[in-house]
Amino acid sequence: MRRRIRERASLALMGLLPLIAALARSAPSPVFSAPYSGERATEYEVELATGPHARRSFRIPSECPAAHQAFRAGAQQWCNRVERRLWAKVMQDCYYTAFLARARPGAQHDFVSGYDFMNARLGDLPLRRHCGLDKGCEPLPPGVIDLGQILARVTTREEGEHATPEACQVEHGRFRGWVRFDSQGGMVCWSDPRANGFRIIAVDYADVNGDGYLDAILRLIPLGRDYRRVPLILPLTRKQPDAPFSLPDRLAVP
Amino acid sequence: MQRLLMFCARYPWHALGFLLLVSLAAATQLRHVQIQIATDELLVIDDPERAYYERVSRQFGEENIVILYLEDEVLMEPERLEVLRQTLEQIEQLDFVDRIESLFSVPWLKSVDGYLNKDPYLKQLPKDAAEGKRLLAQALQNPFVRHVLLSADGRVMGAAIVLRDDVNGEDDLRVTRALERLVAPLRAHYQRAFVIGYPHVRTAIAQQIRQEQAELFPWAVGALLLALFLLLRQLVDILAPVLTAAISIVWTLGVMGLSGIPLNVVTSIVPILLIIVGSTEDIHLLSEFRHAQREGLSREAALERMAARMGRTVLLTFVTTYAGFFSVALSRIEVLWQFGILASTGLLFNFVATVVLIPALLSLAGHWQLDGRSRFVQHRPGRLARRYWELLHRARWGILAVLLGVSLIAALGVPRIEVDHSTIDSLARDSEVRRQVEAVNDRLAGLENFSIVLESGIEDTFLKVRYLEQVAAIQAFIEQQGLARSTTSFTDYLSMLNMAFQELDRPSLPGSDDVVDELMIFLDHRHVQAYVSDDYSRLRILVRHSVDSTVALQAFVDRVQAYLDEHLDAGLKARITGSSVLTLRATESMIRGQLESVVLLLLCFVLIISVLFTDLRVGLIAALPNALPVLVLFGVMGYAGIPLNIGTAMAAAIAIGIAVDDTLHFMLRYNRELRSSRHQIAAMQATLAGEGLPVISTSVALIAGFLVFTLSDFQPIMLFGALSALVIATALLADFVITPLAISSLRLVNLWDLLSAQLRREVIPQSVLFRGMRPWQIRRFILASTLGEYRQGEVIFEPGDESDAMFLVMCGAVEVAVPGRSRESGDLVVSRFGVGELFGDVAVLARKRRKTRARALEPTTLLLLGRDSLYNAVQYHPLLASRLFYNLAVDVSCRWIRFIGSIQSPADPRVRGSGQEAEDGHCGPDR
Repeated sequence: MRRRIRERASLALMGLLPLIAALARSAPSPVFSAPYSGERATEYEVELATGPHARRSFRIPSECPAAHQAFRAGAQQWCNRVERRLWAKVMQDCYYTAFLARARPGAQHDFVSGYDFMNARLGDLPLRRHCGLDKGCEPLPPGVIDLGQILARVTTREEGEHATPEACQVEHGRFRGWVRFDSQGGMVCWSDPRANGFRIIAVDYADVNGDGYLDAILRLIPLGRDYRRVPLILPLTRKQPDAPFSLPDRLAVP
Repeated sequence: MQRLLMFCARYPWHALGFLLLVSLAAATQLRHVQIQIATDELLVIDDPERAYYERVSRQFGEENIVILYLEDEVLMEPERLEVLRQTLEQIEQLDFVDRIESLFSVPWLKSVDGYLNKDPYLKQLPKDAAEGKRLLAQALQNPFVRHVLLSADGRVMGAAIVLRDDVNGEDDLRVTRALERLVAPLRAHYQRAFVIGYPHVRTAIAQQIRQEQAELFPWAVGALLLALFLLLRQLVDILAPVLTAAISIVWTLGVMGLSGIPLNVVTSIVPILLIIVGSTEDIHLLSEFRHAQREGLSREAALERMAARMGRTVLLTFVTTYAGFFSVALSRIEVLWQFGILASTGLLFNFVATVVLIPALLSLAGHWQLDGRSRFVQHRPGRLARRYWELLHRARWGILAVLLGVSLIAALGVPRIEVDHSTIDSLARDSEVRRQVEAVNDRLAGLENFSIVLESGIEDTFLKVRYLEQVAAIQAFIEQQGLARSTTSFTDYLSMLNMAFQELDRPSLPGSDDVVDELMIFLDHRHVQAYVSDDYSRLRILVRHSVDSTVALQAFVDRVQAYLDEHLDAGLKARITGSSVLTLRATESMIRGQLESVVLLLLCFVLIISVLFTDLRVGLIAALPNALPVLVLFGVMGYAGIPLNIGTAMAAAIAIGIAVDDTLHFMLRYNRELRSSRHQIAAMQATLAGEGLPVISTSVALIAGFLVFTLSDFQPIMLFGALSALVIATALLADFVITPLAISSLRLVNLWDLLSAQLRREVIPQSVLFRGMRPWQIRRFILASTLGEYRQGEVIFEPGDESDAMFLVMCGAVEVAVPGRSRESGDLVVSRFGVGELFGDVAVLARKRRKTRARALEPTTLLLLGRDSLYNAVQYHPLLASRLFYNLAVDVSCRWIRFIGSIQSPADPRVRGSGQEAEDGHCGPDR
């Protein structure tokens, strides 16, 4: 079911791309990691193969429709391994831009932009601690990551003499350490630079589900030896100040 | 040669004019002579390994780098760094600089708010010492910085100044001076600051060559003059060798200017070598001339004798010396090839100058005398030689035991020799540049490097963790060996990138292919093109090291190769290449080549002497005095720990090429004396008397000249001089000890020599047996025979004797008769044979026992030609045999005719008419 929803959402986004591109001018402009340099950029240029002997340069996100058209025409089949991955990144960045552009402008309620996500308390974030394959939690909207899964490994770790509740906090966009839940639902943590974790690389604000409440869209990358450096999207919302954040309803994320 | 010498003596002004004209022509080219030290001149020409290295260099790039070395207790002090930044900016403006890699430019891969940041380490200067310390700690984590741009203790910092591709050896001086000028102010801010690179090394070597040419040249000339003065004491004799050397030097430099062969570390010794070596033939010619003068001959007669006696000798000795020098040109090492060509050409010029100038000079000024006598001459060399020979002969067993002991001790030292060539030895021990190179080798990763190239032939191979881990394992193995401080590869860059993105505290290789692919999005291939091909099928591990010794380096490379052979994935191929590897191959090639030259020279010498004396044993024995110095040389090297390198290997080949000259002079003189006296001891004493002074003179001059090279600051040249002097000294000793004793043990007076000149001239060519044969064929046949002396009436053979030889009457007469067939005496005389006639051949050819009796009618000398010799001739010399048997058939036929004639005229048993007919040409073979 999740797969079907994701496919439909993708198709819908693809169909809307030309329109979204037009709207993108007024939408919040996200930042990206530029190819080759890895630097923070609101726009980047990338040259990719589009045919057996053809290459073309695209400016992303302004030329996302052209990139999308080339991609749908099978441009990636003419690429080598690295360029195919680059195509994937380009499309991912384009979809994300489209996702933000689709947001309804002028949300009536804003309980998120005042929150410092770069130094968020883990307890404020939807970790879904009890979810798992056998727990029967509600499935996440397509494209939305399960933050708890990134930290899943640390929940089983019991040791740690210096674990404190205060350590369960993102610091300057990064959390790297161990988390332990107690039986009362409490949480203690300790920092460890060699442990898995995550890094919030961007926070965008938009009413992505059109419910009138401004949402915060976190993009983060998992930290750990075997994690790929692919930005993961975590939309958050809340309808009361000081309430824990939850996932927005009726949401399809690219 | 004799004619040429006499021509120059008869027309001295023509000869001098010729020398002057050629010298003037050569002088016009002198300004084109260059001093140039090229980096690849020590490499093997047309080496496939070199071609592969060039391909690798084209793909991964070969950087021409100069290192700016900065040393201080605290490097990261803001003021110092600011001065350094300004200096580097100025250096970067220089037209020959491509870029500078330093902490101001090398990217520090790190994550800033989750995004990659590649700002250099010193984009912002540290505000205080603590920040500077943290920065150093971070930089030292980077394998592209650690030991390359920063020492492990953080007290030495380097900046790699990358020169433009079009900068070459001709720019060395300009590059060196410009960098020195800009770096000089840094010395006020750092404990030690200098720039060092191949341009500096080459400039230093070029300066050293100029200095040494200026310093050593007068020493060499002085040594030669002193040796000649002490031994010869004749003004003309002292000046003539110097003049011929000067002429040959001008001509050789002219060839250098014309051909573009530059003066470098090795070719720079050619002029001095010509002074030293070029004097030997002059001394021998002059010595012969003076010898004749002392015997009372006029100048013209003395010149004629000199030309007659020494013409062939100087030609042969020139050939052997030329071969010695030319053998160096057979090397595939460019610098040795250049040296061999120049030195042999120089020697040829010297020979021409000698055979033209010496007779011309003696013709004009041979009567001039400084004091008219030499100390050595005063002592009557004949008596001195006789006493010496008596002493030598008396103590021969003791002397031979000592020599045998010396040889044995030397032989035991030979296995201790190590083949080791150190490039840094090209610099003087106290040279500033050498100290700077040593500092870079000691504190940083060193100036030398080699590469391990891995390839699979399959695209994207090195984007797979499996293969990247193999690369990392190879690097770890190399680092374990402790000989290379820095190994860098694509995996290091990837690990750095992974560290930055994963925000790790140290570089770490990605754990999966997916992660690698994701990282590759953020990698600009230009940053890693020095390490991996753009299709990721070929990868290079760059190993920087400071191993200067080729022995240690070879062992190191062998260990790495063994590791690769054992552990590398079957899908990958590995090849070790690089400048260090090429140097190793060049060292091996040059040393093998030089040792082959030594053997080749000795073989050549053995051949010449063997042909001269028509006896291989003489050739082998004559090689002993020259084999001993080689043995002693290698023994001394083994015990003294002197390695076999470019200089020392060359010493053996060149010194032997020169040393055999004395033996050749000795043997040629001995041969001549033997022919005239036909008595070995007398010939030996005459040889010692005649050759003593010139051989000692030339050897002393050579030793003095070679010792001049010990003043050189270049260690290989210094060792070359010392060892060459040792070889010449040992060869001199061996020539005067081993050669006389060894020769006296052989029966050198052969049959040919025993036959009187008259017999050789009159009997043999007239003999029916040898008609139509060439002199050498006759000589060969006679040398395979024996002589028999018979008294009057003595029986030579009896009926029933084995027939194993036929006889040629050399002098006297022989009667052949059938016993008991004559009415008067009981014997029937078949025939009588006189000088030049052959008998006893019928039974030999028929393989029958003798049917007749042969008796000498007067004292008779017979040449016995054995049946074996005949069969050997048939088997190995069919043309010779066919002529011989034709002559025999004619001879037998003639005798048949005579015999039939004797039957027709029984009153005269010998049909003289028929015999006379045969001698008159009516019966006999075609001539």
